[in-house]
Amino acid sequence: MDMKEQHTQDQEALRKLISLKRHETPPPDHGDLLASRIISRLEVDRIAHRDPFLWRIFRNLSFRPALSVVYSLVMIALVCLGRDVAEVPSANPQTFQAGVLSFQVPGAAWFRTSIDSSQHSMKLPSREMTAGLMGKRSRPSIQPTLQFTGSGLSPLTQPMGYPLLQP
Amino acid sequence: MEAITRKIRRDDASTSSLPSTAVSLTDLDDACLVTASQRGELAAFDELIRRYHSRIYGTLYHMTSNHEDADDLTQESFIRAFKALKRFKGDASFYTWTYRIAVNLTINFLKKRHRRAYHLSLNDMDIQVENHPELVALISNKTPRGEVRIHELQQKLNEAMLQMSEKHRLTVTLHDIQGMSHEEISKIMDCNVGTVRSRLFYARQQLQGYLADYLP
Repeated sequence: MDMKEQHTQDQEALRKLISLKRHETPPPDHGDLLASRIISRLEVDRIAHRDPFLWRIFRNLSFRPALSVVYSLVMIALVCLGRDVAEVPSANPQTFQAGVLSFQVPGAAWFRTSIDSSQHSMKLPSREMTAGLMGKRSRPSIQPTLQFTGSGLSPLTQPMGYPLLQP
Repeated sequence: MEAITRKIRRDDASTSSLPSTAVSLTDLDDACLVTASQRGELAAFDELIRRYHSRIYGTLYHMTSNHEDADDLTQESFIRAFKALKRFKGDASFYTWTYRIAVNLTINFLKKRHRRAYHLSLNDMDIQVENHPELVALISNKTPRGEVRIHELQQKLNEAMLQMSEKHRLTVTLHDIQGMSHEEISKIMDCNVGTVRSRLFYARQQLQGYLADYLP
């Protein structure tokens, strides 16, 4: 037997011996468990490194210009609608007129007297403020005299600081 | 249970950027799955894992001779591959590219471990190996009275494998155990075919020396 043949036989025997390692297998279901663990780790890692909420919104908007335009148009429309619905007192002369008319009722006359005599000076601003606020919120159709007789309360329930009107 | 999980995952995938529900993930080729994975589709990457984990795990096990280490390294390899997937240009196949990541990771790991004691369970062996004709003939030829048990032989073989350098061990593992061609090994190890042949020759010479008592 020459050297070459001997070498070939040795190589063949070694190859068979190494093939023994092909039978070393992992436990059953190892593959499924391994894949599940890898995916779980990736999901956890993804959650842990998630961007902040505002940054995600900004990123989505920047990647979707159409969505950004629609959002902007909706916001502008809402602002215009809100401005149109809102009532500005200085722009409505009837509201001012209502305030003037309210001073012509007897109760208002009594308060005007109180202003002149510097009595009840602390109560007057609250009355005027009430009239002003009511004027901002109310429509011109609401009669201002109803607002001013005892701040909307019946005479029996008026506060003690407000004397009842004497005819 | 597993089948249900797979179905759910495929349903999730179907609602995303993957092809329609009529196409199963198993029917898609690697390139399509890689593209979907690059967009962050975990279901697509799950399918890639299931295709290649056994071969990668097998190689890493033969490199480390330890199931726990091989398990950890396989997980880490696929996770690194997913994170680096955006840089994958498709020059090589996904399989080769992932293999390269796994091999480099394992070589670095083995350099740190440096012949740490390993544990090999007897249950790791396939039962069919007892009836493997070539091995039975080999053992009977050497030890007619059967004094060498097959698991002892396995133990000696693993010890001999660990005696070799990482690159020689990897070459033997890929060629003689995994059955890869020289060209495939050269791509994975990022060297030319001549280097692979040379490493294989010296690795076999070393193994013959270590296992002389078990060879005719």
